[in-house]
Amino acid sequence: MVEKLLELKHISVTFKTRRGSFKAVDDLSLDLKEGEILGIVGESGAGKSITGAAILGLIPSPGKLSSGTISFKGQRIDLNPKLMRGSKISMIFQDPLVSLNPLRRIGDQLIETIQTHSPCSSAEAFKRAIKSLEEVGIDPSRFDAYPHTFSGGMRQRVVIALALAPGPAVIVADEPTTSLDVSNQDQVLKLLKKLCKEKKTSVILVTHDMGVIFQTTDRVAVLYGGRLVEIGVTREVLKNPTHPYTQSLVQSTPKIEVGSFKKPTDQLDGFQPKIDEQSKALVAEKLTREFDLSPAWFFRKLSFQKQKRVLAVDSVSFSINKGETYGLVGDSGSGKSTIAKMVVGLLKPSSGAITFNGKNLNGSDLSHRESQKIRQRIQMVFQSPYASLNPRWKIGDILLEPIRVFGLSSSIEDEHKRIFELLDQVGLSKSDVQKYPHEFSGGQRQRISIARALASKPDVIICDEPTSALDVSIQAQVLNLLRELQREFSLTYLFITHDLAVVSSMANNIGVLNKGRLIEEQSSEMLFSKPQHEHTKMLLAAAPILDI
Amino acid sequence: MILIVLRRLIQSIVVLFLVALISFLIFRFVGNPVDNLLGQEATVQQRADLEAALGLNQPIYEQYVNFVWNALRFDFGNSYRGALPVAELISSRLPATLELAFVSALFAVFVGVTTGVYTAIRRNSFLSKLILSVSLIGVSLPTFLIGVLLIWIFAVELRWLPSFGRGEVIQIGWWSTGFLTVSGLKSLILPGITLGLYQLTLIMRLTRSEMLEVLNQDYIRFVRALGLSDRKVHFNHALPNTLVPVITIAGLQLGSIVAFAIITETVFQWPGVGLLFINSVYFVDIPVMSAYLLLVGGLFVIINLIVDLLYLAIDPRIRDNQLMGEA
Amino acid sequence: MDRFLHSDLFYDFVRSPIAVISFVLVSTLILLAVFANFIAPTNPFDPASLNLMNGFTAPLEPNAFTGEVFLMGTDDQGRDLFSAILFGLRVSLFVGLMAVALATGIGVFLGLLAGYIGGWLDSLIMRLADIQMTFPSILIAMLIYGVARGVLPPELRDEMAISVLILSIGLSEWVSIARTVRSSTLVEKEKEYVAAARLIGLNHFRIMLRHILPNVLSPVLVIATITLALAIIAEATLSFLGVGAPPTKPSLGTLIRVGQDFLFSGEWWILLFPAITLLLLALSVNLFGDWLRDTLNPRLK
Repeated sequence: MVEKLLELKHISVTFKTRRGSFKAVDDLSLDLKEGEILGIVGESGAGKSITGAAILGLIPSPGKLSSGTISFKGQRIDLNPKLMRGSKISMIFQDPLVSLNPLRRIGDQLIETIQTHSPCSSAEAFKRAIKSLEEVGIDPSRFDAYPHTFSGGMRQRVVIALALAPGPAVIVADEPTTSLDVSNQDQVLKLLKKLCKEKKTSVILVTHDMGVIFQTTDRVAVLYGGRLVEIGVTREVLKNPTHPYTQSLVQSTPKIEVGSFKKPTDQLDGFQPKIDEQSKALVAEKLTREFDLSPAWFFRKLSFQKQKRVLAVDSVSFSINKGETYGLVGDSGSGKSTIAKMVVGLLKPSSGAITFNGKNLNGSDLSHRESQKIRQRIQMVFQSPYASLNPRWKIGDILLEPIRVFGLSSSIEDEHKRIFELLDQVGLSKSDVQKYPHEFSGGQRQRISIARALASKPDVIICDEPTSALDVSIQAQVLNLLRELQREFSLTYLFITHDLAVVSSMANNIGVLNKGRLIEEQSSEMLFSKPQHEHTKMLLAAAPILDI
Repeated sequence: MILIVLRRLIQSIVVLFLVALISFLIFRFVGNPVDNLLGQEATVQQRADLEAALGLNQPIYEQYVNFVWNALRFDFGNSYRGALPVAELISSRLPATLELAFVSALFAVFVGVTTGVYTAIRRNSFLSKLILSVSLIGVSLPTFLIGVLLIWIFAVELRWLPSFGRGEVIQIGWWSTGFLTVSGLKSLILPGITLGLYQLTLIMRLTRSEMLEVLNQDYIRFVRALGLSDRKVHFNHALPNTLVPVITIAGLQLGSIVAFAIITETVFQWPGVGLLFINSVYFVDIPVMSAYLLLVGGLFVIINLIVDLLYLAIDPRIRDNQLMGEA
Repeated sequence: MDRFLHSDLFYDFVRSPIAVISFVLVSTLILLAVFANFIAPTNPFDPASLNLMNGFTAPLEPNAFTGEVFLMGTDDQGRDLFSAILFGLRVSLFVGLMAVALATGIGVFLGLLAGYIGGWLDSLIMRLADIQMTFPSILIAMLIYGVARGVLPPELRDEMAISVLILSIGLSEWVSIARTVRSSTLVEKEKEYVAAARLIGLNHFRIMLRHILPNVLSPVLVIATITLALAIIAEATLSFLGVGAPPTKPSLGTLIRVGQDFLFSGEWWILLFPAITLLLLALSVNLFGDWLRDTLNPRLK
């Protein structure tokens, strides 16, 4: 009989701010069985991290557990959480880059943790520490290393080793892989799963990523607005969600879907329309970009160092047909942002050319007028909804700026008409003109960004991870908007992302980048059904996809 | 790592030369040395002779080089007031300032760090709030006012402590010390507190805010989650991380004690180099001014360098980052 | 204006007793200084109006010879201390505010330039700042003052004293403002709204002025307030040491200097009243600045 290891009964967490109290968690009850991995999923603000913190008594102030009880093996622990920490219940946080004390060697920290919970001789502690490192796949020779000498993924392994060292019965993992890139994420999750099953440690895995839930958890609890909305065996909940919120969450989660939209060049049986030069909107040829990070000449000579040059983009070529979307996929560091900046003119390529409608963009003989004409035609939507709008400008002014600078309207009434038109196209209202960015949600801000990009009536829009920072349900709305606009205005998109599911629903053709090189380029269908390159196959395997 | 040390050393030397340059320019071009030394009545011939003797007709860079060369041999010319060699004036008064600075620094660091840590750990206790309020007044009180008020209370009204001077002083070789006599020690108390108080408030607030920031970090949360006791969390993890920036900034602050000594020495008529300097500004005694600038400037540059290197020794992240250039 | 009244800042302001009290205090002192001419019962700097017999009168006690009563007593020359303090307050505030204005102007300009343009200009400005930071600002102010005195002919020294004071204090305080503006600029520069502005083809100066500047100004407000307190204290210190406001146009610091001389002979009021005024001024500015900093800092919540 599997007993209830951890039980949360009707807990509420309240935050007292100067504007009144706010319930981050509202009458939540759930339990954790021995040896199981329970997922807590929800979007931002749902209260999942707070729930995890509450179990350990680590709710950030001014929050407090205002009602309910938390019990471990039948005994109440919420009154005195410190007794449980480490020895019975442990916690892992999201960002490995700040989870470790930068001034302490990792071996030291392991020994300290071990000896805190089970005092033993230093020789014994040392042996156990080495064993911990080996278990998480870190070479014991790095015992004396400092945290900053490890990469993000490795640091998270150290964190796991530290959390497991005292031999707890439960680990609360709060978004443990969100900050890592796809391949690291996969490895860390597999490690966590393996070790916990081996040691019969239960895990509460807090995340917003449905794919992660699907691949790692046994049961899942869905949170919305601080309340528990649905709980059950993972496969069941995801296959047949009962609560409407869960349903919409599952639906919005991008899955690999190919060919679900119509291409502008529809093919009639066997008839291949001629693709000539004019119908290619954007062509990149052998695009290369090098960054020089060498120390100053003087100091280099003094210490016999070599020049350090980083090849961020290595001879990348691709072309995008008019009215289509080209997806550029890759992990962080693969060079995709650099390529975006070069296409749009923010960076000059070290070599290679970009051609737009037949015109070379980097010709040094371009006058200001000519450059402006080109800029009108190519615009960009950025990743961060928070940083892409000037916080001190009103929305109306933000939209007005490109119109004025490019001289696109003849009178004030004309300007106003155009701004209202833009707002309408992205689903916002006229009254929003007077407001400031902080008055809008993330999704709405992205819409404003899109409206700004549309202001100059461009032909090409570069979308640089436009939805990576948004919650899943909002993401679906924004992607829909982008698709609609593409249809309506025959826009050409260069869509950059690291998320394979997203790109599958947006792009006609996809290019895969790895360390600055374009290693594979295929149409969407072909890429997902018959990937060629090793790296592509690895990416597809590692991605946490909801594959029901 | 050697790279960084070398870089800092070279930077320091450049700054030293710059300081020497400014000092030289003041020395040479502010006011007219000939007029000051000879007065208004001198004849043309006397002027010409003096000019030649002082080397005022040589090309500028030669004069600069001479200036620096002399400075390295501690020859700063003669004061306009009384024609005593500046070097002698400074060296006779240096021990007074240094002893005062030492006492104040000790006071400021010790009390500052302990109260800073306390008010960070026990944020909401009554004592913490009291200390913080008093510290705010400390920052708003100019040093001289603190000194004057202390004199009023302890010297004029209560008559416990002397109101000026160093008391009895014992000569050990070149150095004159006040540490070995009762009156000497008594005389150190009020000026020491005055000089140290401002630094103390700064160090306390700095320690407190750094500690609060460290305590907010994820790695502290993590270490708590691992079950370490509060004491271990505060003293083994939070404190070392706090002290790193505190040491550097506090170190720089302490360097400035020597400059703030000017004020304290004036209030207490303490016979140190600070009092010497302020008098030289008032009487436009250029050689003393420029010599003081050179010495104090040099001192600051050296303190800066030491603090920077100390930082390097303590924080492992910087040591390993070879490409660390302009911060 | 309307936006301000509804802003978070105003909300916090009316709920914080410290903020309100310090603000009221500072405003009162400023008003007193501005209207000193009208409020002061006498003009302490008109030699004709002084009666030496009035000297050393204690506060609120009638003078033994003339029977006049003075709110805060008189000094050795028979000057009404209350009037002297009002005018002294005026000098202290004037120098303080002008010095901060100067420091802010230079600091914002250089900080923006250094942060946005980067490269050699940034290195140059930061080197300069580093070198200046090596020395305490009081020392730099004294130095500039000393040099100015050395350069000016003796007749002009007193007259120009105030301007030299403003110059020396202002020049010694620009660094912290520049550093703050520079680091904010560096952060803003990387934000995507700047890239969006470049995408429209705006030139760099336009971007600096219209996009970046409005976003780096709020930390400047905090630093400027704190710098004001520092400037007031610096001015008082310099005047106390005798290298600031001259006795012909004394500031609070000068008055305290005079007061110290008379401590031992028992005329305590000559010291106390200017000292309290100075303390109130510096304290209220500091309190307000502290409150401002805590409120505008999202992290310490």
